[in-house]
Order: sequence, then structure tokens, then C-alpha cells
Amino acid sequence: MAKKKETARVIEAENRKYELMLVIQPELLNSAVEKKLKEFEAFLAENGGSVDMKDIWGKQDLAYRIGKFDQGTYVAYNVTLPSTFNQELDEHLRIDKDVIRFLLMAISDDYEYQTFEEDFAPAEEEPQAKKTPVPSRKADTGKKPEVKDKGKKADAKDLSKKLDSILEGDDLKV
Amino acid sequence: MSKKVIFSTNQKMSPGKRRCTFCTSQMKDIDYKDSPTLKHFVNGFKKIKGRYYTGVCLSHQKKLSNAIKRARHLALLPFTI
Repeated sequence: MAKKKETARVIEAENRKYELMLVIQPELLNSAVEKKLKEFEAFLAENGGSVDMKDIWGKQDLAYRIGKFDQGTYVAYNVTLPSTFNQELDEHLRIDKDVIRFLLMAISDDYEYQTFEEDFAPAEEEPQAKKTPVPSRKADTGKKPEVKDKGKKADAKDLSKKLDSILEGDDLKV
Repeated sequence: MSKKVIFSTNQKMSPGKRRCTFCTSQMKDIDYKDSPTLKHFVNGFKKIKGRYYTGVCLSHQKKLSNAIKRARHLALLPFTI
């Protein structure tokens, strides 16, 4: 077994694409976050990595409490790193107290970064759409009886006139 | 996502007509950042729904569960209520 270990294959460092997501604690100011990210990018560059894309989501509510924090600033990176650098990066992020959570994920070469937003706009439109029919219905309910009344009145008037004319004429004749 | 995908439970469909929503909607990947769509495949107790209820095919179900677990780790989705 020892001989086999000695002749173990040497892992060559290949550059691979990764997606890295950081959740930074919310109490840091924006300037402090930017400073921290700059330091982090410098750390990546020291170890032969390069940043392809960077996206700061900003402060968001967490789905559950992490430690004592209810919020976190989300930052997404697309980076190319040497494949032997994983463990070191993991340790570096784990030790860092300002990073609450992180996720390092290998991605394919033809990966396209996408942002997903919750469709708030339709949610806003829906109540408007709901609101608009309600007054229209009210208007309809308001208008309809009036129209009906008008029609009835008109009919009643016409009928009364006709009746009167008929009655007057016929009665006199008969 | 420009197109709006309706995630319906296909359970009442007859077996021949039952289709996976991810196969039909031509989504490239199931992304862990895509919490609005992932929410459709989570229970009232925030557990992952079974294939029996959602009609997702096996290969997509595996990707889906992976994405939900990643989203949970980053606190984009809750583990429980």
C-alpha cells in the first residue's frame, strides 16, 4: 500500500470555472463591504484566480436566522480558479467572521449568469386589475337600475300616454 | 424569465398526457438562485414535494432537489416554518 501511495498521481492545477456566493453580515457599511471585497479579490489574484463577473445583490432578508443576524448582503462571483485552491479558499472563508455563509460551485464552460426577480410587478398589477372591476361593477350596479328605471319610466309614461289617448278617444267614441 | 411558466400539479391528468414542466418549458438549468420557481415545489411545511404530486421527471427532480438544498444553505429558502 505504501508503494502505491508513493506513486500516487500528481494532481496538476487546472483552471476551472466556479460560481461563488457570499453572504456577508449586514452590520457592515457599504464602504466597508466594498473594501472587504477588494481585499478578497486581491487574495484570489494572489493565488492565481481571476474574477469574470461580480454581482452585488445588496441587503436582503434571510429565510431563517443565522447566528444573531436576520439580514445579509448577498454577493455573487463568477471566477476561474486553479483546481487545487479549493481547500485553502474554504478555510479562508470559514475563518472570516464577516462572511456568514458561502457556496462554491463548479460550473460548466457555457454557463450564463442569470438573475431572478420575484414578480412583484404582476402582484402590484393584480390588485389594480382587481380594483378596476370592482368600481366598474359598482358603476354597473349603479347604472343598471337607473337605466332600468329610465326604461321603465319611459315605458310607463308612453304606456300611460297611449292609454290616456286611447281611453280618451275610445271612451268618447264608445 | 420572460416567459411565464405555469407550474401546475399534473396529478389529475391522465397518464399519457402527464408531462414534466421543466421538459416542456425549455428551461436551461434549474438554478439555486431562482427561488420564485423553487417555491412551487415546496410543501406547506417547506418540505420538497414528491414527484407524485408535481409530475416532474426523474432527472429534473434530482436537479431540483439539489437546487433547493443549495438555496436552503444560503438562506434563500427556509428549512422549516
